[in-house]
Amino acid sequence: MADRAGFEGFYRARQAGLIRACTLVTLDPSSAEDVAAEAFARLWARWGAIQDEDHAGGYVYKTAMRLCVRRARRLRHEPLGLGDRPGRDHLEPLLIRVDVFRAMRSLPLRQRQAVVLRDWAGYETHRVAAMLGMRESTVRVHLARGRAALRTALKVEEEERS
Amino acid sequence: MIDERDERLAELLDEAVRDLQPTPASERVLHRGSWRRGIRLAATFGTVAVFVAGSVLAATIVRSNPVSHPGSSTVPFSAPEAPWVFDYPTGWNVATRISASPDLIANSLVTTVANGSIPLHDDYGPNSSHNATTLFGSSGAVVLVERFWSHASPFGAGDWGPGPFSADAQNPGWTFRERARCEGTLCFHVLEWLGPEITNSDRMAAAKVADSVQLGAIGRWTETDGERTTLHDENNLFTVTYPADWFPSEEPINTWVSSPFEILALATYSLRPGGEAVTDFQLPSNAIADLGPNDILIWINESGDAKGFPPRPQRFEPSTPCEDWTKLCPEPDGRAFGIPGIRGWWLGFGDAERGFYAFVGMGEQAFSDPARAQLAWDVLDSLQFLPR
Repeated sequence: MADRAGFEGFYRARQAGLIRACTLVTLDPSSAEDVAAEAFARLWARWGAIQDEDHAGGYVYKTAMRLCVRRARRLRHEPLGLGDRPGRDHLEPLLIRVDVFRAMRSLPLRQRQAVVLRDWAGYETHRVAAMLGMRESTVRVHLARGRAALRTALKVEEEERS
Repeated sequence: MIDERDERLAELLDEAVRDLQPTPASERVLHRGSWRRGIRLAATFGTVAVFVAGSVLAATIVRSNPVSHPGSSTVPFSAPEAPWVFDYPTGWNVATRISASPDLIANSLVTTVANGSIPLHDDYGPNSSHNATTLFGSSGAVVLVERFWSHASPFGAGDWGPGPFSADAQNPGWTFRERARCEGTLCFHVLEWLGPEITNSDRMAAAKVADSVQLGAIGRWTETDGERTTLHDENNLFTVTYPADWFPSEEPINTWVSSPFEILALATYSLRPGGEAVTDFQLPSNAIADLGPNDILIWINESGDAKGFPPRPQRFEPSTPCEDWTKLCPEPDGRAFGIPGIRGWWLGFGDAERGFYAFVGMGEQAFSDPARAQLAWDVLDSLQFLPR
């Protein structure tokens, strides 16, 4: 995977997703765009060593999560950055964003990252562990706590699972 | 099952960010990446050049002073008596020591990792003893993971460090640096403590150990000084300190109500879960039936956010005033519930953006002994909550 076209295709396909993931961690859409751009730049700098799209995805998310933490720590005392008003005619999406951002803000960063990578981005727990540099068991703990806190804050009943 | 993806949460998160429309800027990214690649290539060439030159020079110097290498792999540390986990080099030693005492205000629990043997009975630590070289040798590498005594510890504080290396005033040539880690209700310090002749590889290995320390996968954890026990509940994000001979229930004593949900049942006697509801407040009858004349029961339930609850009072007491919220105002004489032989109080309060109902029950003998009765209110005062 050493071609520019390949990178650009990957970038177009994954840019929005990575920015949204970073937004859920930093809780600031404009910072998330910066962080995602930097992560993609670092990916491009190593593009020749990237084996496949899966590898690229893991690399760019791992890099972005590291950058997100730094950015989120700087932003933790700032007001929530909610980004542009949603393009729909009603305010509901913005209100959801406010609720979700407030709930996410109450989570420690590791819990935030674990929930975003596992539940929102859909990465398996072992891949989340690799991205965050922690053991799977630790990821599970962060996930359990993060989910419990989010469910309570967002008033989500736990799903029944067989 | 925790390994399954939580689809409903995923959907909510997605709704929150779905409308964000990023600006495509692949040219900017490509430019920034190309620049980075150039810098990296230059750095690589520079590093190789420096390495080759350095190797030639080092080969002539180092032959008479071989460097010891740490184990090529690491092993994970976890122990039931310690709340932290970390990785340490194969061949290094680990020991955990609990040195709790009512007189201690710090360092009641320490895990030591060292590149040599670890003394079991000596006191040691940077700036606190002058025996470092005797105990660990001049090339000693020691990492100390210390739990600060809970009654004096910061709660919910942030991480800091590692700071710069400082000279150990008690041990000439030894240096140390420290960092604090706080996760959930637990804060602990990690110290790297290095001898004057430590090798670079052991120095790096000690730093790696310190970097890897993190809170283990624990739900509840207690620490005691023999007189008081502090319970940390990482699932429900609170701590409470109580007399060491009291009994926290390991499982909910109310087995049929899930909202509000029980986060703590604590008593001077061993609690039996279950039974039937006593009064409208769903007190479990087994716990009430077992409450003797000199016993005390504390039962705390959580109910969503703090909306509708009065703020937590500065001190809990039977006459806690209820100016804005009268529904569960505690009766000073504790007779409101009409349970024969038991004085009882319900208190509602908000803390850390969470809402709580607390029940305090005690037998007539405990109620008539002010010092004993006060224990119940002291336990409530010791509660510390983190936001969920």
